[in-house]
Amino acid sequence: MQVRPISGRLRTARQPNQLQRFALANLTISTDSQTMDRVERPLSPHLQVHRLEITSGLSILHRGTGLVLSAGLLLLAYWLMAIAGGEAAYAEASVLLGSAWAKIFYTGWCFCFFYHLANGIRHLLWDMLIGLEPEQYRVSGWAVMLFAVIVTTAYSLWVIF
Amino acid sequence: MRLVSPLNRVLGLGSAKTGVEHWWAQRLTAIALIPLGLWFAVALAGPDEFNYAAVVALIQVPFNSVMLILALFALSYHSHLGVQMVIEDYVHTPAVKIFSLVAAFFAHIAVAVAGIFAVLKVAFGAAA
Repeated sequence: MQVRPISGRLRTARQPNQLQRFALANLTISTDSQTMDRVERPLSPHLQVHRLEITSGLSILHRGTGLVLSAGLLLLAYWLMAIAGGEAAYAEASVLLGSAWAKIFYTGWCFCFFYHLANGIRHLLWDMLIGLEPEQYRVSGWAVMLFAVIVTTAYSLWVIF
Repeated sequence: MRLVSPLNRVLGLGSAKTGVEHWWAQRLTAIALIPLGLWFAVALAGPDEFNYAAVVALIQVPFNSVMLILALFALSYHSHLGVQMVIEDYVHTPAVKIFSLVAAFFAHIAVAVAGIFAVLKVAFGAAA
């Protein structure tokens, strides 16, 4: 099989733009995985090069609250297992689960839940191509934040405390 | 026509050809969790006190048992997909990455089985 030399194609190409010049100067293409590991490319998330905005801030918060809720799933399973364990097991677990400190954590999980729920719906609407204009996603971002704070406050006062 | 450069074809780079089902499952579980999550928040607001008799009575209502099992399934699945995505995005050391992915996978299976088993045990227990 005849292999076309890549260098020949590069020479006939038009002048590289600024980004391409940067890439050529900084990146080395190699199939050797050890060589590739040593090239210090910028890694995601690129927090150091972007100013934080409402959109990016809420996006980070969506992942953060998601992780906190995942941790809460462990607690939910622990609570259900304690109930299944019988009255004595539940009384033992209640020392921790029914404490005043726990209520502060429940409020935190509450915010994470209502925020992740509202912002998740925002994401699903985006998937349906709804609300993708800059003025729309900024407004919906603030709306989601407002919703989460108000509902968390109301729910905490009503149910938790 | 293939939109892959000759160099990337040789290196085997380009689209990984998978990921659609991950994206789709994340959306499906997200949609399911809207009513399930809201139900859970309302259900927890029901009992005046969270003593043993009250929580057993809550879980033993057949509708609540089913909703809890559905919620546990959807939560574990959705959480698994999310945690997996976060690890893949932010953990760059190969060994740590693989270990985290395996540990998170097993943890989610364990949580789902424990939660669903607990609900079934309480639900099938003697009516309070």
